[in-house]
Amino acid sequence: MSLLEIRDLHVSYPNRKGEFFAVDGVDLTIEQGEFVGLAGESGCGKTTLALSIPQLLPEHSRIAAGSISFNGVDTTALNEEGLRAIRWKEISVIFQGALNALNPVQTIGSQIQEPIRIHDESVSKKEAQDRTLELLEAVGIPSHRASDFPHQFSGGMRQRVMIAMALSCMPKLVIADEPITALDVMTQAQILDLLRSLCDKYKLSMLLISHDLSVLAQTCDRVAVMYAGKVAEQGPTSRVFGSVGAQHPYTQRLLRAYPNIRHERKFIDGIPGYPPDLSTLQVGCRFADRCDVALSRCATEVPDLIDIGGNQSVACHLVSENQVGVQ
Amino acid sequence: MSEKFSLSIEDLHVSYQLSGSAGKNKIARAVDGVSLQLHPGETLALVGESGSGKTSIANAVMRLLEPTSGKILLDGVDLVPLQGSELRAMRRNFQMIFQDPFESLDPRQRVIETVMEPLEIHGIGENQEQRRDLALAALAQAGLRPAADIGDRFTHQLSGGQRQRVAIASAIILKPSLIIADEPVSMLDVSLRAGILRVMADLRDQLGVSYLFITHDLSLAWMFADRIAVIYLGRIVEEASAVDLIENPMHPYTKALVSVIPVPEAIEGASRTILSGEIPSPSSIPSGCRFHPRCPLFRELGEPEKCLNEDPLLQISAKSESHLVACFFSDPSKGDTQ
Repeated sequence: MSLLEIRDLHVSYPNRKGEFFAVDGVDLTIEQGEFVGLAGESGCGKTTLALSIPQLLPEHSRIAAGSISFNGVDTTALNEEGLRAIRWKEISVIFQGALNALNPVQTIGSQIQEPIRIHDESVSKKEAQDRTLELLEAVGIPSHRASDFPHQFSGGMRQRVMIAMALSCMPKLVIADEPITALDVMTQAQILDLLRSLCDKYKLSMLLISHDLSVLAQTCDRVAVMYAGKVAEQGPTSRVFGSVGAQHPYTQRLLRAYPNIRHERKFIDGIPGYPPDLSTLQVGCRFADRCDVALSRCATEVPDLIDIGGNQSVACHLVSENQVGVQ
Repeated sequence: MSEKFSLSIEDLHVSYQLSGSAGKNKIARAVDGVSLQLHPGETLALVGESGSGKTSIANAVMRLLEPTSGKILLDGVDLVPLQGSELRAMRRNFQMIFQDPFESLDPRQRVIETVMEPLEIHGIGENQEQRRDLALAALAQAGLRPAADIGDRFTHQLSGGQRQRVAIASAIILKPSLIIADEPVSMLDVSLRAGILRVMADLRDQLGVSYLFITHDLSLAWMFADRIAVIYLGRIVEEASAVDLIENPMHPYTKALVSVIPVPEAIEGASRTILSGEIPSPSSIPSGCRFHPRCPLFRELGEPEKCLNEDPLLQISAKSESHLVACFFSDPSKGDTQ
């Protein structure tokens, strides 16, 4: 059994005409101890998908269809009490922009301790203190700094505090939403390295959201690329960025949008146009009007996410037609 | 030196007096002896982490802050002693594009007014009609078409990419010889970055404008710039052609930065040098070589005295006259200089 199994998930937000789907039929599986990356442009549904797992979605949005099985339990069927039992303890989130979310007048030690005691009343104060110091060391902060306040830390160190907080109740799954976006290059490398080593050390599963595919390529076991509320492509990092290569035209274009110092120096390519307005009716492949290899059927038929072998799957008519040709 | 430079920064120092109980009477040396030259039509990328002093250099050139000492020569004229009308007259020759296209434009102004404003300030164009035509031409050059249609909108009605193009149009309308671009695409979605950089590159080719391109992103600098200068704690530690710097970094700091550039390839066991710790405060610059507390080479060599006591200068490396490095030990062709 996988730790997390999302099936045909639909998450909607209300608009004037009724509702539109920010996540529109997504399947995603995360195994225990697996480090999964989720990529895509802003507005493609990455954060909505991630926050639907512990059901921390904004007000008025709703899970309209589909299931989220976590550790064998369908979280979409849980009531508030049931959800409270899994948030932090089973699934924790490092929110985007959380660097400024720390309480400025509380020491970082007590902020890490707080969730431990709130979520597990059987933990004594002493145990919670010990665990806090251990967590600080685990994220690379000397434990004597537990009594310092957030303003005494740099951005990178505050992000380490956020990571320690996310780990405070020993969850099975940690969701990190753009955890390195506001940080310097070297600090980014430090934080990614830290997340990877914590994942390995504690057998954690991790869902790392980033708009930057190259960040995911170097950190994750597997990546999923979202476009306009759907998964365009997913597969093991070693295949998508290695032997087989990215197959979906959107993934390929995203890759060409970044300079690659291991290749010949050339100007990056943009992606013409904008992602579709999801509040209007979508027909066919959502990437079709930005795609330079679109077939005529792409305008009318929605491509299914097809397994092309090696646990890599792609939602593209061109790829599936070539697959048929090969077989 | 008789060579003509578009911009020549000579031994620039920018210091701040810190206030507040923690830093009383402390001086932060944000820029600590920087010299840079930029040829006409050339793009020099200034790459560094936050706190390295790169934005202070930009602000000093823009005269948004007073340098403590040093010269800033623009087309041969030192900007530092200029005041009032003399400075205003020079201003049309250097312009800046800021990082945040949402904050750098007035949301209550129509796009065309924003772009015409510099012309009015500098008294260029005989009448509104002519200024309007110049502004429309600049909008079109920045890739905003149809220019008349976009010009009529308010800046708050535009997307981030469009706003950054408006900022570019405002920057080029005075036909400056130098544009300072401070992280011009870092706030934009990745699909839009190429378009903005392409417009900037076209302007370089058409107008011969030179760019001081400030970024934390070494791979973007490699793609866009002719030369790269790497700055650490107020000092340039290495400078070379963009390709040479990425292919043959010499300074241990540059080497580490290059090694952690994320690459969209699954590379097994790629050797990355992740430096521990963080860039120190410019109010407590380490003795000797300012990079020594974080330097892998310093530890590898058994912590040489020289790095602890002497401040390495940016010097021509033995390998190439255009490759400069500020390290006692990173230049293997020179041998052990101890």
